[in-house]
Amino acid sequence: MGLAGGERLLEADWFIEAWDSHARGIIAYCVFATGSRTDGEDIASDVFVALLETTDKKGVPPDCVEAWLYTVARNLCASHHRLVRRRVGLLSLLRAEPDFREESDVWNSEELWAAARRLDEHARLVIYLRLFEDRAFADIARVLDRKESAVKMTYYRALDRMRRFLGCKEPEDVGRAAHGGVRNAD
Amino acid sequence: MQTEFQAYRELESQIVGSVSVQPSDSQVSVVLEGVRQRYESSVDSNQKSRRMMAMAGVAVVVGTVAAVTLGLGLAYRSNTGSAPSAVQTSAGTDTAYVGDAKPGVDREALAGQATQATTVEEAAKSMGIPLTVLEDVSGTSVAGVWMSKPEIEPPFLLVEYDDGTLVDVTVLQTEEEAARLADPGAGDPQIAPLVSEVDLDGTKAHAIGRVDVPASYTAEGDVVPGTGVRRGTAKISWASGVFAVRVMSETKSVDDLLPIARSIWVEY
Repeated sequence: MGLAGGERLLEADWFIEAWDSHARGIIAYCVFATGSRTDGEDIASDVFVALLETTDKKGVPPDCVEAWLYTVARNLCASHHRLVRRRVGLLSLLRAEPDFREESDVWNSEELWAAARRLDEHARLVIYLRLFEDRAFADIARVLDRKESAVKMTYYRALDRMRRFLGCKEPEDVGRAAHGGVRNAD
Repeated sequence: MQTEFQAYRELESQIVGSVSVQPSDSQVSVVLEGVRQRYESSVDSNQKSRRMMAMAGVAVVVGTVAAVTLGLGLAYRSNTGSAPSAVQTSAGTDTAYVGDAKPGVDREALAGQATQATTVEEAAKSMGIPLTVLEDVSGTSVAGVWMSKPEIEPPFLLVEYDDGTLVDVTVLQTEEEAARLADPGAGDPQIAPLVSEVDLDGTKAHAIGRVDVPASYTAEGDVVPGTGVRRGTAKISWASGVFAVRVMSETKSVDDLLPIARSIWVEY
């Protein structure tokens, strides 16, 4: 989508390219990670504001923009969850219940949302890129600047953790050696 | 018989089917408008800060202590006055920040978790906390004392002064837990650089003021330590054995809290 009016940087070619290429993915990831359309959209806005501000100062190398955006988004989502935990301020000192409930308006299964919420932010990002952007592990590894094997391990460990959170029964023929096969499951 | 591979595929399809995240065109437009508003607010805020810092710089050149103090004061007001609006105007969320986002005592919640005591001594004795509090320090006096109810874990004792200053003494299971609770920067690289050490007549304590530092990012996209922090509460805290003591105020500075912190002893 195009840009009209506003600050010069918002109309710069590099920003428009970054926006057109990655905005939908960043928004979707932030919504997925926070479980909230409103919070996800707010965080996605912050991600692109950060890009504008950082580029204003010293610049993000063009070939690193996608990785940079997802890293910032991941950090902001992690901050969001941390903020939720601390939101009570002084109330936390009084052991009060927080006035903020982590409900989700985008997940239609409370159990799955609860399980996803208990993952660390890196694992949630890997899950998102794999399942919702249908990316190959090699591509995810490139975006996250990790080894492909490490990304696969993160992904399947995250699924394992979700299964445990969900109280799923262990598959009958599971052997820990099966993780060796996991590495070839791409 | 279900294989591990089938189990993964089943969960994957459950996840994909359970959440809808792809944004519509209108949602993308909303986010873009958010970017525009926040960036414009940010630019405006930075320009104000630069102007104020320039004023402070002129004051330094003039070389009078009074002028420097004035300049720093102006810069501080600029930061505290404009930075929050950069975040809050567009969407009312502060996801770029960590810290005490919503300070304040919820007395209704407190009433559900604690009972009021007549004096600090009575509460401390009742809870087995070797606490001594000197009153009438810096013109303040104790306005209320609460003890946590027996079912509340970990137990705490709360003292409220008439100027709103709060003293929380929490009883932990181990000294390590108490030390961790007393250190606001423990395990948090964003906050740790903002925590200083103060001396309470021989006892080392952690101190952090009310701060509002917008987030900055490295070229790798990581938040720069010490940025992205907003706290509406100044706090001095320390551990004494299994007791974590925290002295907090929404209006006072760390320096203003020092006399009160020095008037509190928890012997262990």
